[in-house]
Amino acid sequence: MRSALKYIAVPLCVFTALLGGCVDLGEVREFAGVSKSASSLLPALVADIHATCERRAAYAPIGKQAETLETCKKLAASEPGILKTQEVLLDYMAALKSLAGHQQVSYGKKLESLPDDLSESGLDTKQVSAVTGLAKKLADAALNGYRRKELSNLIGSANDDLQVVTGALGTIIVTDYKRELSQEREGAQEYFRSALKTYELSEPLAAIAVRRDLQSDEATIATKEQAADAYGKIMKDIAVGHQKLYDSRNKWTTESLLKDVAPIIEDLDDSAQKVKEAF
Amino acid sequence: MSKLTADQARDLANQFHDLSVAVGNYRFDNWDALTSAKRDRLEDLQWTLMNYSSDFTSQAISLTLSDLAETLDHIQRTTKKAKQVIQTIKTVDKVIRIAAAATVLAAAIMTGNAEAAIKAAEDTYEQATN
Repeated sequence: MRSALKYIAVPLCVFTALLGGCVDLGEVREFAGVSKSASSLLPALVADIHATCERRAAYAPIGKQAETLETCKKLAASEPGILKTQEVLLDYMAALKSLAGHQQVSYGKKLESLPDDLSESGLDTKQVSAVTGLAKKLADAALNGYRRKELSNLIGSANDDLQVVTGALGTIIVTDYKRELSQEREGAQEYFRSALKTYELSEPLAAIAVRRDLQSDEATIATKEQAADAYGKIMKDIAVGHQKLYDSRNKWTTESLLKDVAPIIEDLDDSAQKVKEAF
Repeated sequence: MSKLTADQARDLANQFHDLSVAVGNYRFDNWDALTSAKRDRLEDLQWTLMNYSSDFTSQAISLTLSDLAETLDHIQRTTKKAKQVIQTIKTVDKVIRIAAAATVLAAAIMTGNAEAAIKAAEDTYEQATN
C-alpha cells in the first residue's frame, strides 16, 4: 500500500511543483505585501509637490506671488493622476500577495475612464499605456479566477508594464519633486539672503534670527530630499524584485525565492522607514 | 507637430531651473555693484524662469512642437549658451537682456512655436557677447 502511494505521490508532487505548488511562496507574498506598504507612502510626497511650490510662493516678491501660485495650481492638477497610477500599482501588489497566499484576485474597478484620469498626470503616452495595461491584466486575472498556479503567468504578462510604471513614479518623485524642492530652497535663499544683504549691518541681532530661519528651512528641505531618494529606491527595488521573479518564473524554488527576494524586502523596509521619518 | 515625452519636458524644466539659479547667483555675487532697480529686475526674471521650470514639469504631456527633436536640440544649445554667458559676463544690462530673452523663449515653447523665439534669443545672446 505504501509503495503504491509513493507511485502516486511522487509524480503528483513533481507535477504540482511544475505548477509552483510545492514551492513556498511566502517570500513572494511578503515581497508583495512590503512593496504595497512601501508604495502607499506616495500620497504624502505627491501632496508636497504643490505644497513646496506654495511655500516657495510665500518667499516670492509681492509682484510674483500670484504668478507663482498659478504655477502651483498647475502642479496640483497632476496629483490625482499620479495617485491613480500608484493605486494601480498597489492593486497589482495586493493581487500578487493574494495569489501567493492561495487566495483569488478581486478587482472590480472600471477601466474605461483610466486614460482620462491620467491625462493631467504628467505621464506620457507610453507610460499611460503601461498603467492601463497593468490594470487590464489585473482585471483579467480577477475575471478568469486566477489562482496560485497562475501567479507566474501574471508576473510574466505584467513585468513590462510594471517596469514602466515604477520607473515613471520614481522619476516623478526623484526628479520632478526634488526639482521643486530645489526651487523652494532657491526661493528661501533669495528671500533670506536679500534680507541679510539689506539689513545685516544695521540689525545684527535680527540677522542672527534670519540665518537661523534659513538654516531651519534648508534642513527641512534636505530631509524631504532624502525621503524622495528613499521613495525612488523603493520603486527601483520593486522593479528589481519583480524582474527577478519574472526571470525565474518557470523555475521557482523556495531557496531561490529566499535568495532573490529576501534582501529586497529588507531594503524596502529601510527605505520606507526613511520616507516615514520625513513625513 | 509632435507631443513631448515626459523626459523631454523634464529636460526643459531642468534647463530653465538652471538658468534661474544662474541669474540668482549673478544677483548675489554682484549685489553691491547693482542698483536697487537692477536687483529687482534680476529677481523678477529669476522668478519668471523658476515658474516656467515648474510649468514645464506640470504640462509635460500637453506640449507640442514642430520638428520636435531638432527644436529641442536647438533649445538646449541656446539655454546652455545663455547660462554660460550669465556666469561669465560682467555687464548687468547684458545679463538682464539674456535673462529676458530666456523668458521669451520659455513663453514661446509653451505656445508650441519656438523656432522664431530661438532665433530671437540667439540674436540677443550674440549681441550680448559681442
